[in-house]
Formats: sequence, structure tokens, C-alpha cells
Amino acid sequence: MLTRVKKENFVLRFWSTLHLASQRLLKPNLSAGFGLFVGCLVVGSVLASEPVYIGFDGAYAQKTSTSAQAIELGTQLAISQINGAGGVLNGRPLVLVTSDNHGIAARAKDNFVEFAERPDLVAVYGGKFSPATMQTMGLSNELSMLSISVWGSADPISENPSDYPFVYRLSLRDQWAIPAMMRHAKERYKADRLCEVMPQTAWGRSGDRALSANLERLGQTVTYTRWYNWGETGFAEVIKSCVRSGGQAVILIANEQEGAQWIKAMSALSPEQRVPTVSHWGVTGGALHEMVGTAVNEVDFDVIQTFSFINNTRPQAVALAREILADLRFSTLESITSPVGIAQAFDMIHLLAMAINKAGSTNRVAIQKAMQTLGTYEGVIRTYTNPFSDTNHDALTAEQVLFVRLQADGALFPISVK
Amino acid sequence: MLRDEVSGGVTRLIGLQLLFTLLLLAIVTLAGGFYAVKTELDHKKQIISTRISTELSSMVNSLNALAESPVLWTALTDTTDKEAFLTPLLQSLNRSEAFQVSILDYRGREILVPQKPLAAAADYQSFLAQQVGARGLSFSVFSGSDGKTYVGILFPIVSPLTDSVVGHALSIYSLEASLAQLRLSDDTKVVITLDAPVSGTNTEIFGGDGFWTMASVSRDRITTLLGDYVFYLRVSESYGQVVLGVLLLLVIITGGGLIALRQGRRWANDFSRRTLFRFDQLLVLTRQIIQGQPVDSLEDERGDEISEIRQTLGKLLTEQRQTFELIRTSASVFKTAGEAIMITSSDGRIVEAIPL
Repeated sequence: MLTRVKKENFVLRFWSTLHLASQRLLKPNLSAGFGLFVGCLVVGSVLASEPVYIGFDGAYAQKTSTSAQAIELGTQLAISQINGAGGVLNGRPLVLVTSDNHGIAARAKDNFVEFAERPDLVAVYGGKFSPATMQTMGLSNELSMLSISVWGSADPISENPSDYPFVYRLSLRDQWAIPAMMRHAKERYKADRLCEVMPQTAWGRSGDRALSANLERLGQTVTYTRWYNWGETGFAEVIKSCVRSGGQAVILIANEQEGAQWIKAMSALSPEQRVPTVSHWGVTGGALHEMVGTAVNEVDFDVIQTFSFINNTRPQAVALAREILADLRFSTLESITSPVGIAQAFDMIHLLAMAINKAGSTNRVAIQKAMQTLGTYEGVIRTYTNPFSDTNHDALTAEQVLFVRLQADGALFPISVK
Repeated sequence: MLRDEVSGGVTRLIGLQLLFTLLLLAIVTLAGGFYAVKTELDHKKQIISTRISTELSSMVNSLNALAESPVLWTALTDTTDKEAFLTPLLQSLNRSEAFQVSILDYRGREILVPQKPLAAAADYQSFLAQQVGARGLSFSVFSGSDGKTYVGILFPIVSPLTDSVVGHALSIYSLEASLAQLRLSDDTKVVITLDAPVSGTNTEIFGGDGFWTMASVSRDRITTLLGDYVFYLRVSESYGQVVLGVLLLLVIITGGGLIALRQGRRWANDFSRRTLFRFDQLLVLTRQIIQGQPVDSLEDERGDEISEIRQTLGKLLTEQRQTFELIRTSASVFKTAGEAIMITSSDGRIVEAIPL
């Protein structure tokens, strides 16, 4: 069943790549069919060579999630750029192959194994669900397959490069993301007493560890802790308990579904019962605004990010935004969903392409070695200078952290520009 | 001869009555034994059926509650540290000796199983291979490598976040462990199937488990929050012991009958001898009378028919003697007297002759 889906996905993504490439090279008002035809001709010479595959195992089946689609879009855009410029390894095209892990660790593990069996597949991207990526870490060693997280933030993913040399990340890391959220709560909401609300997952536990490790340094205390499970509702009592405990702000670790429940519960309370929320970015990996509507205007709900297209003057970001807007899916910068997924996947593909070229082959061990000495790349998020080393497999740092506010139309406005 | 006839007749009468009584007793004993065995079997089957239905219903409802549990959804999307969250959950469910719940992943592979599983994993692999991927509840009855019967229930756990199967809850129900608490006899055999048996649902007097075996097959329901499910229950029990008991009872009754018959014959002889004794006396008296021998008194105060005969006979004998005396007197008168007075009856017959 999975194989069939994968094949279908592969065909779909393959032609999607061609279509996207044709759109990059031709006027958008050309008919889709003609664009595709011309696109085929343009990239035909590149595709004539044996492709180099990149796998992406995303949670496509999550009904409200937009993260997988965003990562795929960012990947496809980067692949189109690279293939348009001649591909990798002297003319071989990059091709994205996707699979759906439904956000389930066991499926992610199986998909990873299937990806690893595919010749010339050099790396597997992991998506928003840290536990899914964490399940593949051991396999990455066994199968010598690069496992690259482009959205997961749980610390274990990259905290031991020597133990898991094939695991990389271009994403937030809780070790510095959580302290940033705590600082944000202190500076913006004068919150010294925090409540923490987190899921019973590796992600939640990673956030809890990071929070506990920084309380003393930041002069903050936790007055109320609540662990929840996926699908739980009824956060009103949690908020009331937090307020009763004297909490001044909430550090929330959640995805869009629990985030929506949280915002609805908060907005339904009277203003004096509400408490500001600094949320982890999982909530922006889905159609949160569609689930909460204008309720989001009623609450203080700030979300950590690593990237925003809005008011971003970095040339690479502007260029990427232009490309995205050329695709008719988005009409404005504000309407681009899950921007961190797009940007992080985009930059990571370029870094990976550099590693492939540096390795000179699709040998995964050689590519892993090349990842350690990449040189410099001007990405849309930052300038990467040897982002990975033997002791560091994180491409981003705390410097990329910013906070945004969700608008009722889904826009994620950086707080400093509101 | 008459005595033999009376004795034989009475003996036949007693024998017939005994035979009829014995036959009646045999029929009542056999019918009663059969009814008792069947009633007890039906009663047992009802108890077993109720227990199985209740336990399976309870299991399905527990699995349903488990499948609706956010704890499980979360644990199945993140199997890291699964023991910390799933183990207490499973422990709370696996308190019964009759069934155990295991958590499997979306392909039916073990994520968390009880430390001491009821059935070996190899025993239900074919069930998993057939049912993993199916939507909805699946049942299977299988024999374990230990020779015991198990019911497997596979419940796909669908997360509302994805509308896809994130794992499975597998419950293994041990029929033997469950029924052990009912303390059934060793010769009671219970077979549970999900398909209707070829023989249909009825009572087999001579079941397939042996000649002296009665089996009762019924169609039963497992009523759950998710709907009703059907299973077939066959309870068989050997009634050889009962048959032996009935046969022994019949032998005893027959023996008793034979003794009674012997006693009856003796009694019939006594009865005929006792009854015909006075008749014999009468016969002897009659013979003596005929032979002209002197007889004792024929008086008999009993007042029955023989008394009447004896009295009649005595009266006849007296009248005969009187007549004889009269005739002898008349003859003497005619022979010796010159003159005599003759008294006659109205019809001219000489009644008395008196010599002068």
C-alpha cells in the first residue's frame, strides 16, 4: 500500500517539479499544459541523466497540517533552482520523493528504511514531528543514510553528533528556543512566574528540560505545569489553574490543533482570567487561523519562528518570496503558510546539493563527510559558513529567533513591526 | 392341581405386575436421567455463554475506551519512552487472568506487550496478517501452541488528527482461564467458533466427542457499544457416568424384581395352600362320606362359601340319614307289623309308618 502511494507520489512530484520549473522559466499566464510541455523541453537535457533522489517523509495525512506541504514547496523551489542551473554532479537532476508518515513514529521508521533501499537516494528529510525524526536516528547509523530535520526542534535530534553522525538539522533547537521564549515572556509580559503546558512526547520532554535548565539563569519560576495528550480539549481549566497559581505567562508547546483549542479557551474567558501565551512554533505548521478565526485577536499569543517573509530585506529571502508569489497558490507575503518550513527546506536543499557536489558522488558516507566542510552559502535565512562540524549538526543558532503574532487571516507578523 | 392352577395364576399376576412396574421404572429412570443431563448441560451452557459474552463485551468496550484515549494516540505517534506512558495504562487493563491487551503499531508489530503473555506471539500471527489493515473490529478464535483456545480481538486505533490507523490494540482472551473460574468438570468440553457449525444449533444426544456424549450448540451474542457480534458455542459433556448409574439402578431394580417375584411365587403357593386348605378338608370329608366312613362335624363358623357348602353338605347328610331311618322303619313296619298307621302327605306319599 505504502509502495503504491509512494509511486503515485513520486510521479506526482516528478511532474510537479517539471511544472514548477516551467513556471519559473515562463510567463505565469501560459496555459498549464503548454508550460509543462515547454518545461519538459527546458529541463529535458538535465533529466536525461540519472536523477539524484532526496526523500521527504512528511505528515501529509494530518488534516490541518500545512508543514509538510510547506517543506515540499521549499524543497521543490530549491530543486528547481538547482536543476535549472545544471543539477548536481555535472548534470544530474535532483528529484524529490515523498512519503506520508501521518505524524506516526512507526511509519516514519518504515518509510526511512524504504527510502534507504532506493539507490541514489542520498538523504531523507524529516518534518514537523520530532518523535518521527528521532525514531530514524538509529537507522541513519545502521543504513548510513542522512537524516535531516528541517522542522523538528527536540534537542536529542542533534545533541550528540558523534553518536549520530548522519543526523543533521536546519531548524530551531529547544536548547536555545525555549530560553528565547522565556526571555520573550519576561521582556514583553514582565513574566517571572511561568506556567508550562506541553505534550506527553519527546518534543514536550525536550522543551521541559530546556525550560527547567534556564529558570534560575533567567530569574523565573514555574508555578504550574500541565502535560497533555494529543487530541485533548478543555484547556479552560488549565488556564484558570495557571492564573490561580500566580502564573504571569504560559510557555506553550503545541501543534495547531491544541493551539486552536488553547486560543478558543483563552478568548472565551474574561480578560482578567486570561494570561499571555508564548507558543512554540508547531502551531504555525497548520491552518491555525482557520480553526480559531477572530478569536486570535482577543488573546496575547506570540509564536517563535526562525524566519519571516514579512519585512525581510535579505535579498535571498526577497528572491524566494518573489518565486513563491509567482506560483498562484499565494497572493501576498502574508498569505504564505508555514514560512519557516519553506525557508528551512529551501536552504537545506542548497546545502545538501553543495555536499553532493563536494562528495562527487551519491555515496552517502562521502556526502556525510562533505557536510562537515561545506564552505559558505548565502541562504534565505542566514549566511551559512561551515554550518556543520564534527561537534555541531545544527545549521541555525539562537540569533535567527524571532517572534510573530498570528492574525485572523493567517498572517504571521513579526512582533517588532506590528 | 387346583392349587397349582391358583398358585400359577397368582404368580403370573404378580410377575406381570412386577414386569410392568419395572418397565415403568426403567422408562422413568432413563427419561429422568436424560432430562437431568440435558437440563444440566443447558444450564452449564447458559452460564458459560453468559460468562463468555460478558467478558468479550467487557473487553471490546475496554478496547473502545482505550482506542478513544488521547494518551494512546499520543503514545502511538511517539514511541520514545513508550514504557513510561503505556505501561501503567496496560497494567490497569491487564488485571484479569482471562485476557490481556497488547499495543501494536499500525502494521501489527508489537510495541508493548504484557510481561507474561497468555498466548505466544506466533500463535496469532496469521490472525494479524489477515486482519491488520482492516477497518473496524476483528475477531478470531485460534488454538495456541499450548493446546488452549484463545479469542483474539484486534481493534484499529484511529487518531482523529489523521483519520488513519496509528496502531492497534490486541486483546487475547483465554477461554480456559476464563472458564476455570466456573470449576467445570473435566469431561465438559467447550468449543467457541465464529462460523455457524455444519450441524446447526441443536442438541446432539450422541455428540462427536464420544458415544455417551451430549452436546448443545447455540448462537450467542456479544453486545458492545460498537454493535452486536455473533459467536457459536458448543458445550459437550459425557453422560457415561449417568448411564452407568441408570444401568446400575435398573440392575438393582431388576434384581429386586426377581427377588420380589420369587417371594411372590412363595406367597402365591402359601396363598393357594391357605385358601384351598378347607376346600381340601371338604374334599376329604366328602370322600369319607362317600366311602361311608364316619365324619367329624361339618360345622364351620367362618360363614364363607366353603362354610355354606359344608353346612349344606351336613344338612344333606342329616336329611339323608333321617330319610334312611324312616325308610328303614317303614321297611321294618312292613316286614314285622300286622297293623300300622300310615301317615301320608296330601299327594298320597307315605310320610311316616307307625306300627300298632
